Amino acid sequence: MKKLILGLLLGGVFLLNSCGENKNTDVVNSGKYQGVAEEVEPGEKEIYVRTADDKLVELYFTDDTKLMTSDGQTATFDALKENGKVEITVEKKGNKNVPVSVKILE
Amino acid sequence: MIAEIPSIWREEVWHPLSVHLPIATLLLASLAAVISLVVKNKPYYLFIKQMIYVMLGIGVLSGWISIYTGELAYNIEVRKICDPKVLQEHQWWSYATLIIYSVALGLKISTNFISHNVINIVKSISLFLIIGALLGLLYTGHLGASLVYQQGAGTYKPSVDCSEFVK
Repeated sequence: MKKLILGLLLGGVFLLNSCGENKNTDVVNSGKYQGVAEEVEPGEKEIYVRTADDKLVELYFTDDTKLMTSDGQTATFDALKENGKVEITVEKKGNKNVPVSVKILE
Repeated sequence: MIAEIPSIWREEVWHPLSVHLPIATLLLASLAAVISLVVKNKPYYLFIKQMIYVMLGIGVLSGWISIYTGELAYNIEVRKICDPKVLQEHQWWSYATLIIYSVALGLKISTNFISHNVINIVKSISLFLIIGALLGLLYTGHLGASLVYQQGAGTYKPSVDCSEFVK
């Protein structure tokens, strides 16, 4: 019985920990940053970018977000790859970063 | 150009349309669970026990529907509001709260099948979870209200001259 309760508790903690969007992200000042696209979520058109100064920036693409390749060609969201290098231009609005443009570097 | 009044059936509005039933029923289930601790009269106690069961069943079922509509609204509103962290916290607390209520319902149902030696322990855990989840329910509701009334999530902002409402 004790093992069952302990198992349920541990399972519960694991389950709660995986609920929703609970990453510890940062909001950076408006500007241009280079980093790595740690996570790419095509369903939500969302990426998490780890910047050179170890900030994790969560970006939800909008209709106005420009996505391009390193030579400036327009790209679609599926061109983004996890752990790929990107350059992002973001605007700080309230307590969030809005992606103005994302350039795929490699 | 005159703005157009958006449809009341747009996707992000499905969440507020569906979320109030689980709020009401789960709240009643928790309140009934609290009352059950002090009621000694047997007919009243049996009524309250049944009430907890029914409210919890309706609440958990409609709650998961609300989670689904909430996910639909999330994808739209996270791009519009000024502080998405409140939305993410609301999302986390809604999952956590509903998981606790679901486990409590599961335990309640399981009392029909488990042996008599552990039935009282399971019933007590279930009651404890139903009462404890009330705090999560209230906090989730508080965050939801903050999203709507402070950040305007899911709402339409009429034009300055209200021209789209002229009949």
